[in-house]
Parts: sequence; structure tokens; C-alpha cells
Amino acid sequence: MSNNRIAVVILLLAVVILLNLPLPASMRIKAGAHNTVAPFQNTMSAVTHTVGKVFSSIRNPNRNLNDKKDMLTEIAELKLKLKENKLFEDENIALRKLINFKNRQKVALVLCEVISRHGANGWWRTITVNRGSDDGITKGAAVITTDGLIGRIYAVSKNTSTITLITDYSCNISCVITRTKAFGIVQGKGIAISDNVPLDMLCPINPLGMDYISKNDSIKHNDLVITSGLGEIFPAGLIVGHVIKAELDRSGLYQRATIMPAANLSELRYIFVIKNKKEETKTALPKLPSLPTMEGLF
Amino acid sequence: MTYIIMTLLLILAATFQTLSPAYGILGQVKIPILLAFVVYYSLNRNTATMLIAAFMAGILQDALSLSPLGYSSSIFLFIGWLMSRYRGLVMADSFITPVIFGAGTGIVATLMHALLLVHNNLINFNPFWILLRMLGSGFLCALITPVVFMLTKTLDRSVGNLETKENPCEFC
Repeated sequence: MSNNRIAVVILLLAVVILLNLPLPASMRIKAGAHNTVAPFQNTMSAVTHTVGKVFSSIRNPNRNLNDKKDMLTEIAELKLKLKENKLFEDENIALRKLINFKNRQKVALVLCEVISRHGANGWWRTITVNRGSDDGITKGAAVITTDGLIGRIYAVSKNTSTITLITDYSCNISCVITRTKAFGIVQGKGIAISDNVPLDMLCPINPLGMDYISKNDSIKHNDLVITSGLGEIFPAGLIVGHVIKAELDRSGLYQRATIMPAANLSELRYIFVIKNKKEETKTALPKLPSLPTMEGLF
Repeated sequence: MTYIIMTLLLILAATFQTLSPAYGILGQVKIPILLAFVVYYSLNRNTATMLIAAFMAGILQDALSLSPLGYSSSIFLFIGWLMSRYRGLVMADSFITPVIFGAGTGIVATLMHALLLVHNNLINFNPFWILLRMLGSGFLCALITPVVFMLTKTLDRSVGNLETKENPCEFC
């Protein structure tokens, strides 16, 4: 048997084994590949960012100065807001103590930098960031920016994490419209949002769709959509986006709405992963009066 | 030496491919650098080297995306095998060969990948999007393959992996 034939047989066997690998083994191989490529990605990402910054400063020399001024103003405003919020927080803690409630959630954020987008082939709407299990990131954690929810962790390796964006078809989120308290399921439509891609001519951009909204609720343009916390994947209260339009489904049983994400998904550089989603899950509810038992009824 | 160079090149190619922008107008397709390497190894090296390159490129592509492992490897191995069967009929040193082969393999690889993903319910079936991606992939692969050919041939010749103007069938 020639060397070529031996190679063909071995590689065909290897492909068959690969196709039938159990998921944990497959994820380990993927994590290994991510760890191998991560240093190169980090370096290249840093280089491209630096080069971009240099070109940007050449084109607009005052931009950095203006950005700094804007940021200083924003910091001052945020400090003021923080002081106000501290007062509310103290008041909230005091009231919670009065009715014997404990803090349900303790949220810690991990700052990550985006090192690549949409994987190696672009079939899915994903991003890869430069933090992984070493930084305490776990699979399934919610990912946000300062503007709102952007996705969840799909896979974690030692130094990197892959995030499925909310615009991906596989992303389903239980959400609520804040004004009407109407529940629904938000699903990605698979088309990336970008200002510089003229896709409108080719196909309509419907980044997110919200289905199964009760037909009795009146949904208006610009209504705020947040996560409901049901399903326990995403914490409650994360901003998802705003309603662009709503209409009755063809079945006539429920409404569906088109949602524009609050976060700008085309310009993601720094994102936050929500760590330690639930530290204290036990909630001391006020004692309810005991319900009558079946024995008592008959 | 051949395999060390090949491994390094494939890792670099995978890095550049993941960092390349996904062009919306071309169906969010990435620049298929790994596929261009498969075309290069199919037309310029012996069958065993080509098969190993195709297998490794496939693993890297699948590992760095949400695609199940083995999909890209199967596709790349099939494409590599197909091209190596007909490489005797074309001039691998000609500029037009990598352009045509690049375009063809870009289209075929995307179609095969789409069929596998749709069959296993891993992506939403959207014929328009898939067609756009096939054309996009063909276009980008036609552009990148001659560049990969030029750079890799120069590197291979400088390290002695490939002698100048040799017949690739000599390796078979």
C-alpha cells in the first residue's frame, strides 16, 4: 500500500471519528484551538486597533482632546448620579430589612476585549473575547455593554470566550415590554447591524423579533424591552432594545414586534460578562397564611 | 520542515481569517484563506501533504467557529482530492489557475457547508443568503488564492520545500 493510500485511509478514519465525537471532547478540541490562536489574535487585534487609532488621529487631530473632554464631563455626571443612587440604595436596603427581604442578586462584571467577530466562517453571529475560564467566566453567562444586552457565552476556553450575539438565530430570550408588562420571546434574525453595509437594498434588516406577545396589549413604537428573568439564563432587567413596529401574527393568536437592539452590535470593542449570577438564591419571603388542605375541604 | 511550515502557515491563516471582516454585501462571508491554502497544497504538493493540509485546515476552521468538528475537514478533503485528480491538466504556475480554482472551490465549499448545516438544522434555511454567500465566497477566494500562491511558493522555495519550476506530479 502506497504512502498516499495510507494517508487517505487514516484521514478518512480521523474525519469519521471527528464527526462522531461526543460534545465534551469536541468542545475540548475547540478550546485547545482557541487557546493556540488566541495570542496571535490578541496581538493582531491590538496592532489593528493601534493603527486605526493613529490614522484616526491623523484625520481628526482634535478628536482625542474632544473625546477626553466628553469623558470628563460624563464622569462628573455619573459621579453625581452615583451619589443620588447611593441614597436610594440605602433607602432600599432599609425597606428590604423592614420586610425581611435579602438581596437576590449580586452581580460582578468582567471587562473583556473583542478579538474577533463571527468565528472563522461567518455562518453565525458570534464574537470572541480575550477572557476565559481563568477569569471566572462560565458558559451561559449574560454579556452586556453599557447600552444593553448583547448575548451570552457559548463556549469558554482558558483564555478566550465565544459569545453568541442576540442577533443570532439560536438566541432566544424571555423579555418583557416595560410599559405594558407584556411578555414575549425575543429571537435573533441573523442579520448583523452595521451602518456601512447597504443591505437594505437586498433584504430588510430585522435584527430582532419578539413573538408571542398577548394580542390584548397595546404595543407602541419605542417601547422599551428588557429581560424578564424567566428561564434563568439572563438576569431580569437587562435592556434589550426598543420596539420599531408591532403587528398581529398571521394566526391571529398573538402579536409580534420588531426590536432594534439598544447596544450597537457593529462597534463592539469592550464588553462586560456578568459573573456570579446568583450568589444568594434563597429569598426569605414573608410568611404566608397556610392554605387549606384537601383533607380539610372534604 | 514541510509540516512545520504548513502548521505555522495554517495557524496564521486561521488567525487572519477570524480577524478578517465579514462582508455584509457578500452574505457575511469571511475571506477564505484556509481554503486558499487547501487549493495551494492540492495543486502544488503531493497527495499526502495535501490531505494533511486539508484535514488540519478543516479542523482549524471548525474549531474557530460554531460548526461541528469534521464538517470543514470532510469538505476540504473532498475538494483537495477532486483538484489533485485534475491538476495534471492545468498549469499550476499560471496566474489564472488559482483564480479559477479559487472561485470554484469557494462556491462549492460554501454550498456543501450550507447543505450540511441546513440538513442538521444548525442554520436557518435562507436560499437568498446561501446564494449570496456562495457568490461572496467564490469572489473572495478568487482574490485571495493567487496571493496565497505567491507568498507560500516564495516561502516554500526559500526554505527548500519546493524547487523552482518543478513539476508537482514529481512528488506523487
